Amino acid sequence: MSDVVRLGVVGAGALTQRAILPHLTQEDVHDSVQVRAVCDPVAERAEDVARRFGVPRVFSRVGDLVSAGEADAVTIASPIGLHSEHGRLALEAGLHVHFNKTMSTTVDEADVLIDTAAARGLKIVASPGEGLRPQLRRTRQLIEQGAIGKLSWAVCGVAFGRYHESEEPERLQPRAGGPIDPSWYFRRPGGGPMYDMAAYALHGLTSVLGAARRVTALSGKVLPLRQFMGRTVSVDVDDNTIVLLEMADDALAVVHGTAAGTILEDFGAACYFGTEGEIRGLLLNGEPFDFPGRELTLDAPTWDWEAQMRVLPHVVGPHRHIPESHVFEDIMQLVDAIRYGTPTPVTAQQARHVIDIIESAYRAAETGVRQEIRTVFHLPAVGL
Amino acid sequence: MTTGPHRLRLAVVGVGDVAQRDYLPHAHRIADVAEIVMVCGRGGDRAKEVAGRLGVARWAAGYRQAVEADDVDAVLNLTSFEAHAEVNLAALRAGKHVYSEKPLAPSAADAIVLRDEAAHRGLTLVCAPSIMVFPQLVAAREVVTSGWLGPIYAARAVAFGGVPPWAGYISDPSPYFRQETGPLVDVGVYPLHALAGLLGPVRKVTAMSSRTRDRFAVTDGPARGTMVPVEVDDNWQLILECGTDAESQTAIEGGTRTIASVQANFCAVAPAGPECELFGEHGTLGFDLLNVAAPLRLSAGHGWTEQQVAHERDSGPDHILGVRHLAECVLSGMQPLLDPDPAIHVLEVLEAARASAREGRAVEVPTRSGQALHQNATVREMAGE
Repeated sequence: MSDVVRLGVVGAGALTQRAILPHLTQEDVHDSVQVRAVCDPVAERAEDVARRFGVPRVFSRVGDLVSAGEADAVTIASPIGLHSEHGRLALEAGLHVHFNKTMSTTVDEADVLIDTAAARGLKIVASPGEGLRPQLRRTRQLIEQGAIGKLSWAVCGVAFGRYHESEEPERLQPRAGGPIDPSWYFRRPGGGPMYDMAAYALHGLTSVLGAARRVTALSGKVLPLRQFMGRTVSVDVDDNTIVLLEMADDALAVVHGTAAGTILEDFGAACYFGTEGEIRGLLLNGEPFDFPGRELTLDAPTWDWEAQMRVLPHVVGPHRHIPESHVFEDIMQLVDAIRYGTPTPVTAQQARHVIDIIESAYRAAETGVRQEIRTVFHLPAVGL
Repeated sequence: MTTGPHRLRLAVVGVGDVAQRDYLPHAHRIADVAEIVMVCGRGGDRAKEVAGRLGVARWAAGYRQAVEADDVDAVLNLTSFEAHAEVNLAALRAGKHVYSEKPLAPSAADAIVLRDEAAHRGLTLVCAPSIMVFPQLVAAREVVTSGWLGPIYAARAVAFGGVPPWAGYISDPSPYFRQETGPLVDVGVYPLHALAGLLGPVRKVTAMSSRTRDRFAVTDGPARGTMVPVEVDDNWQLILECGTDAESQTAIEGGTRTIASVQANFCAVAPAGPECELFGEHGTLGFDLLNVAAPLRLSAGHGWTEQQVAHERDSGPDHILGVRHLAECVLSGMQPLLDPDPAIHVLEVLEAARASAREGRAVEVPTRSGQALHQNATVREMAGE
């Protein structure tokens, strides 16, 4: 067995406070991963977070963190527009990287990250690991087995509404360092519901159906201003986008990433329609379908995202009660990959493909011209 | 022109599947404003049989006798779609009012000729689908204008066409699978009429399509046992930008456009959820496009509430409401709500969608549709009262 993975956390914002540190400071993971450093440009916030969670080192610059020799790997929890730069610094310093979604905002950036990791023998795990979820693996298996006949089309999508301004408790109860500013969700690069919420739907869709081939989209901005704690935030990114995808075998798919509008109450879930039936979230022709671990979810409604994550392999014991356990699972995928060489379906190649879809969709909306998706990824066998 | 003061005298032209499923069984419900005086079919046998069943004295093969009869005020054109334009034009030229099944004509340009012919002769031309007077659409429109949803940012709709062979279909299905038709023309018109009617006209379309089968064997009706080639894409997905201009009354603050996805196919089962959903900042409204018995579904977060809507037909589309509308307009001299402009606009959208899918680019819908916008607004005003 390899040694404990020493982890650095880039960004001390909402996700780090709500999920990453609460999960990784539980007793049960001390033998496999330990958080050694946290980094945030808001020094008071980083120090406060380090004190609360017992993290020994604090940095305000990513370059200092990755060159300090304190970490074997980092998890990138900075604003999406900074993921690529921060990940590249870590890889160049010889560190393995877990990216929270999305890994980058362009395919070119993703190529650099993948090539850098490959050249140095480093591992990347890129969230969200929708392909790990037994719910979606079973969905894929049902479709492949013909449970809904021949697949014709699918629809999915997620809206972020006003979640980041008014629903995330870590932002609304500011501690040291002041309120955690959500403005970047509404700015380029990396803002907008596609890179944020719709990324879950796209990872889910491609985990079930594989790669998309072509894309077109219409996109616009409907809310020019947003409010955060009495302050006005100007929006310079599209917040209302619908994407149309050509998938394999004549199937079409549509993805809503809009300021309002939830396709299904189950977060990020999809409807799949075939010649003989439909899968709607976790229902096959109106009846719940079984999947490994389903018994762990039955005391909660299917839209309870956290309850649905109890079925993930590392989400046991206390982790079932800490928010965003899917993020913890993805980090543990990296930890196992480093320690044991365990392969994971949560790949940088799939993340790049989703980024390709989003980037190409925006290009299609801007130019009016349908775009070819040039990236592919390998979808591992289902193996439930 | 109308001679009888009380009831419009109708000639039914076309006695195929839609006539026997959606119109004739409900004709008694409009007996206060209309009576069927003649039944015509492509061959005479089915017309004769239907006439006998309905207790109608006259039947004929072909549409000529209906168009030329002095005691016919209006033609109810329920023929196969490829005959629509010819029958519509002949009827208008013979001085008959017309209710036409959709589409009015194969192209927007042809439909405009019909509209102008009717206007020139002072005749009333009503085109299906009369979806904006279906009770659930009237109720949906009331929710939209109440402001309960807040600004509507996005929408999605599904047009259910059914997977062939259509079990129980009593006519030859092959016309629906020819190059110039397919699910876009047959069922895509329902969400397009609804979205344009509720949100304003379609300004831009981008689309993709595919063909999921080459042929199928017919299992019912007169063409049973034959193999129908599928010459048209049977799987369509459109994204629309809909909306009014800033100065107009609009569902969106400041004239911003709503984007909507529309699916129309002959290759998937019916969705279990609502066929149409409007996504507003404060809530979501779901409703069915065809089934008048389906309740409205409203959500302002997790969970849905259902709102029942009063309806006359037990279930399915209540197309007879459009025929009633024609009769009432002719008898009273009232301007029809379901005039041809929305139908022409939808034909323009279909043409834009085909061009988009073929050429791989987004296509603007002609600004001439601004007229349709105005007409749609009128429909909305009056349908909501």
